Amino acid sequence: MGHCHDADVRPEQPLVLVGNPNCGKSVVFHHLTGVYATVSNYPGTTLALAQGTFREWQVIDTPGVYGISDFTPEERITREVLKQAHIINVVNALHLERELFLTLQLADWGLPLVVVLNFMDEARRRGMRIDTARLAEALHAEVIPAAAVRGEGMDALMTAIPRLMRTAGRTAQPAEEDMDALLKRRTRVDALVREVLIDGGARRSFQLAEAMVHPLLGLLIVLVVLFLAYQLVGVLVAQTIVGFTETVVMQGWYEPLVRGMVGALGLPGWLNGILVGEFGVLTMTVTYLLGILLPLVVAFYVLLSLLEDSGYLPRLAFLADRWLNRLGLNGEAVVPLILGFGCVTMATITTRMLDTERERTIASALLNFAIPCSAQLAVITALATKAGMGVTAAYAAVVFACFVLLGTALHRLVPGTSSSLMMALPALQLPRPRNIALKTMARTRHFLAEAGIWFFVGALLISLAQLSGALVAIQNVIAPLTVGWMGLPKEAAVAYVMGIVRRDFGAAGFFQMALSPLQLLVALVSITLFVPCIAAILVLHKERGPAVAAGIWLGSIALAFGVGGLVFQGGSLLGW
Amino acid sequence: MLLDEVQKGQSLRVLAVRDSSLRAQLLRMGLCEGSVVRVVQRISRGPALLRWGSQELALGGRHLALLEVHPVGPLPRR
Repeated sequence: MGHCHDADVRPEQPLVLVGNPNCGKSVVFHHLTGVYATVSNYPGTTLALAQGTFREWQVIDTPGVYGISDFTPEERITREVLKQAHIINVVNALHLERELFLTLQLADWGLPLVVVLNFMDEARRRGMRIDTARLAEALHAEVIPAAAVRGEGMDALMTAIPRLMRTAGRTAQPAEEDMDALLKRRTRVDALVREVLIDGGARRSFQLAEAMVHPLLGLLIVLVVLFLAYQLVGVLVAQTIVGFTETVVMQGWYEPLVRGMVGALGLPGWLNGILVGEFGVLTMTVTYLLGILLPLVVAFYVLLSLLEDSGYLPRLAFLADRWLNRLGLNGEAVVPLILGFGCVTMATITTRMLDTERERTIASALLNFAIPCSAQLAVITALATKAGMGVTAAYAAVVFACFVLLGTALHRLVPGTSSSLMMALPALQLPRPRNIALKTMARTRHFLAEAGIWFFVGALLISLAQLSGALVAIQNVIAPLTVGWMGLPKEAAVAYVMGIVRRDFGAAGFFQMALSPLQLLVALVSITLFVPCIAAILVLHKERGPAVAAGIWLGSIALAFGVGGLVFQGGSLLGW
Repeated sequence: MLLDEVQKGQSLRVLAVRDSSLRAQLLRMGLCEGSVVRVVQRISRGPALLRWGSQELALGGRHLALLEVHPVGPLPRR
């Protein structure tokens, strides 16, 4: 900071939302700016700063922190932003003894502050009574009772902001605090809580929440959740809905229409082929994207949003901790790993929430090697359900085994030590349909934009390769691998070429091939383990560096063909 | 005794936290020497779920081995 004027009104000073993880900052941010930052019910959803504007002011949403120090990357990010800022401190009223620790730290630094006392609806339901006037007096700050998800208190906040911005800005010089300072603040927080919390209310205990973390009942609940997920995505959407969108809408109605229109233009044969031929950018590509992938991807996103918003994921993290320890991870890694079933690229970014570089590397590698994303799973579900439960079960078993073996190997190979689990469990809650819809729409839009481009590029490349004869050449060159080792038809090479662009696109390449159940299993396993899509590799390169990205890319080719071949050879021996 | 030796349902008073970083992080959440916590759930050779006040915190095995505790009578369920 070159210029450090104390008590100097600085209109360019941003308005920063600060608070503990899962206190509802992003909901308040959405109310103020109209910008949708992902909202979920687990600590650590916001991983980077989000920016928007409220009237003439810049507003910044920060990752949740329990205090400003140096314990986590989130704290370092937040600490930087706080050096010059007006602050909206969002406080979860249900956990005052935890949340006010950060509030007092901010107040001690003398930063201009408004406190949003969030979750007041739930606090009232529990019979809690909080003396907000006394709290405001003690903090020398306005305290606004709110229930942000219902919009309660947001008008009051919007009228308070101009008053806040008129108070003199300050440049805080956050000093590193020793244990003594922390202990003193803890004593003050406890005294303050005793003073303002007139009635602590009664904690509602949920039988279901207790069952979710029970070693046996919890496992049962995992199975029920998986079964319901399969019923929704694998049966309802993959079979009934996609059956309609793919065959009736796209192949029955859309494709003939486009073929007729393009045919009427009298284009040269090669161009006609590119547009509406076997891999036509206007026929095959659009059918894959809208007829098959879109309904399934939306279903996956809805499912993941439900898991995120209910508060189930942190409980799953608790159950999985012991097992993930064997893969060099702790329970927290459940969040990025599960989100990988939505989009591996986005989940790779989510690995930032993990505490050490080592865990981020292991989780990123597992995601990009062995977790199929929603789009790919969509195609796989559509193909596997046609071939029956046997193929589906064998596919899941092989991919899961690869996941465990890889994790175990990485745990031995990646240097360093992983952190131990520390995760605050949020209350279980019913997901709000509005947030589910917002989140699903944001993710679907992202999917369509990204997949759309790469699908058209991929289809174009494949068509050109076909026209130039390169495709046949590639097929012949890798035939020993595809035909000899993996027992697939020669044309399978096309799927792997398509898979270099996007794995879901690659999986779709198997759609029109007549494959035996064993061949289908080999094809699905190998394309799942095959290279991450171009977007994921770019993110990997940015997050983990060129060595890890290149290692994963090349390693996945070896793994895909290696395991694919082993499955075929093993299956043949067993006489499948 | 250490927290990783305890079982589900026990209530404990925290006597010491043997790691300064963990101690500071728990302190911010309101858990310090003298606090009483209840073990709501325990996975054998795995994490424990602790409850105090209105909070629930999942702590992994290696963290548990850093907390010195002393059993106290079971607290009434809140």
